[in-house]
Amino acid sequence: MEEEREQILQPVELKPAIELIEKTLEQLDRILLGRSDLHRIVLVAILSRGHVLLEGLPGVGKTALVKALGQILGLEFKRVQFTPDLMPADILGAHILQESENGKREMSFHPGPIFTNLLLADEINRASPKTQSALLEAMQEQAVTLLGATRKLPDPFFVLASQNPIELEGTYPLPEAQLDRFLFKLVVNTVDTEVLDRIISTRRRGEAPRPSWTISADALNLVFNVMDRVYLPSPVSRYISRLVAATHPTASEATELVRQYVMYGASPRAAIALAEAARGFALISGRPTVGFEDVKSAASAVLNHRLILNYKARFDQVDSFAIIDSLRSGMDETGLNLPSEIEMIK
Amino acid sequence: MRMRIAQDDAPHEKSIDRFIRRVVLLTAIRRSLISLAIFGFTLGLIVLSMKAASNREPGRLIWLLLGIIPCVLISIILALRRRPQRAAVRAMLDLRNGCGGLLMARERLPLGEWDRKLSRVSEPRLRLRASRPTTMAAASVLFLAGAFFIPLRPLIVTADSPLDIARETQEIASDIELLKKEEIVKSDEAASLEEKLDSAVSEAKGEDPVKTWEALDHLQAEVSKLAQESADKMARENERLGQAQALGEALSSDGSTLDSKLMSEAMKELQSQMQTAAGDGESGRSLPSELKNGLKSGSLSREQMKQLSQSLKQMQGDISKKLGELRDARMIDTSTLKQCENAGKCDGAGLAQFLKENAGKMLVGEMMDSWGKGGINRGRADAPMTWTDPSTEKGAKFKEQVLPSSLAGLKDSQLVGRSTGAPDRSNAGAQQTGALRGATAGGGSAVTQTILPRHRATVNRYFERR
Repeated sequence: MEEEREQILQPVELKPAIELIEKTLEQLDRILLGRSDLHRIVLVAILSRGHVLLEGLPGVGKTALVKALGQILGLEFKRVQFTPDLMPADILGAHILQESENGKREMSFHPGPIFTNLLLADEINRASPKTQSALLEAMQEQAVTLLGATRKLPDPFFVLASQNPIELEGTYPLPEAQLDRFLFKLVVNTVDTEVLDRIISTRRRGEAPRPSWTISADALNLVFNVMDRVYLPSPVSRYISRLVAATHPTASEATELVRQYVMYGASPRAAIALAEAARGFALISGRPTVGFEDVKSAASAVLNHRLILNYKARFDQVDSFAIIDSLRSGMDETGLNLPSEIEMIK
Repeated sequence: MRMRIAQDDAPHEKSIDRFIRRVVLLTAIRRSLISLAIFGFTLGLIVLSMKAASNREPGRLIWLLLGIIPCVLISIILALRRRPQRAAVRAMLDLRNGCGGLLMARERLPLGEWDRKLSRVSEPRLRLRASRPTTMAAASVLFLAGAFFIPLRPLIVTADSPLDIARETQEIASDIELLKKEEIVKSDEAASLEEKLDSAVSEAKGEDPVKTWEALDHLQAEVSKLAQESADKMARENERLGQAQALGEALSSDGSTLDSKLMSEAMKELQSQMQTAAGDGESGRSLPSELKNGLKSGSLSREQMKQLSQSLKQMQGDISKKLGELRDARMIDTSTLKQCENAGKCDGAGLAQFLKENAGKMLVGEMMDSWGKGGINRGRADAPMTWTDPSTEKGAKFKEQVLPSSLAGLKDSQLVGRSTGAPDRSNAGAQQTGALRGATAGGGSAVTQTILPRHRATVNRYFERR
């Protein structure tokens, strides 16, 4: 696609999108205190049209973040509290037998909460695998098929799911296929004392303020259009490919940690997700092209839930973040391969 | 469609070109150093081998140094072929200059206003870590220079290596000179020996010292053999002269008591002794003519007899002097010298008494042969053997006796076991090395002999019978 264009995004074209993004981030930072980095990366996921899995303890602001995002972006927002007795029809919708005015009875489709722009799947791991699987098609193809009829979901469509890393009794861990459909898995940590003090001082009963500015649909489309034009140079795409390939223990560029602790590496979908996320990071940084640093910034969020580690990793307390760090630091991004006797000096 | 947008005149494009050129240059330098090291060592070995093989200075091999040119050319070609890809260099510069992908994108797309941001692109400095190739190359150059300029002689150790035989040669030459001087060997024999010595000296080589040492040993043995043979001859002559002198003294002292017939026989015997001694001829001196004539006619006066005795003494003295010189030259040992001198000592008075006692019983010649031999008992070693009748059993008495059984010695023994195998042959207490290996102080080498059970009865019977 990029080769067909005559020119890269010019500063004039980029500037309105950057301003919108900065305003969005500003609003998010105003509503949720002390979460700037999280806001940036969630916005990257939105720009990349990806789904986000937020993992964190109760009360750290996961739901508040999603609510605020929905309000700022001016998108339709629905929330589903996942429980063990939640059924797929509770999410997707169901056909109900109804009698029309002329007395004829017919099945009519009653859409579920998934027919929205921004779906908050709260505590997604508490639903049964059957219900969790109901999201598979919706997340990947943005469509729902019921009784042979496929219905498109609204555009844009995002799933922002949350799960609690503790109280795992009675929960159903997300299957790998489900996890793979999330662009990012973000760990939401608690905030420090200073931020807590600001929250207590400025928020009565913890109620977040309403956004003072919301983005219009046209503006959002403008941002998405600009996002589509962010250029991914071939050396960077090559680096993404090498990085994802190196997550497999049999790969030639796999690090020692990968060989030792990884059972299965990331899928091609991860490479696609990494490229999209890198584009998002480049746009947020105000650049029309993706650099190696954008890939590195996105790597942890994209790959951490896609690496399946072996039991040895659990025994040695090695997590996927450590493995991704080893990949980022141990691989020459450019593939220059200078002779070992030639050393580059700054 | 992939098309190259980048313009070569842009500063960052020049930076890319410059970086690639530096990498190629450094790679070529490193490869050249390695090839120089390999070339230097290889050519050095070739030069050394050819010098050692042909014994010539390899000045004509200097043109082989031109081989370094293709080596360097090959290094440059390899460095060019292995030069980094332009896209990779561009990516590296993009990363190092924080261009965020703009520089990489410029390869495919026009950047427009973003181009201004790329004006500050700078390439990193490069450093070549080539201490090891440099050291190896320097060492190879030194080795090559050494191979060309090292003198040829140290290489050809085996060809002209001298063998120091001066001392041995000098000793043999002085021995030959002494033999010639004392007329032990004739001049032509001496010349032959000297010629052999010269030949051994001229053929002496360090590469084969054994041959030279064997030749010198053979020559030394030949000279020693001549000296020994001469010493033996002189001993015999001295003995004859001693006998002659003793006979002369006997005749001069007791001539009046001997009858004329005996006197005449003694004169003839004396003449015979003198002739025999002259046959050996080692003294180099002969009797005066009047004494010879007197001996021939058997009419020597007492004064002439004394004069003869003096002459014989002088002849013995000459022989002793020769022998002394041979001993001083270590061609004969002291015992040989003493044996020769003792051979010439004779008791003249005793001989006169012996002649007087045995006059008429045997001829003077027989008396001279048997004088000094034998005595009360069977005489000394050179006394003639006498044979008597063999011993007989006649008159002897023998007592018949029944020999005990071979098992009689075993009646008090106790059987503790029986084995068909060979007994233990431990050599406890036996000497383990040297000429007495296997022997013990008390029992000799018999301790090593294995007596099998089937031999025991035979051995017992042997000792019981004794």
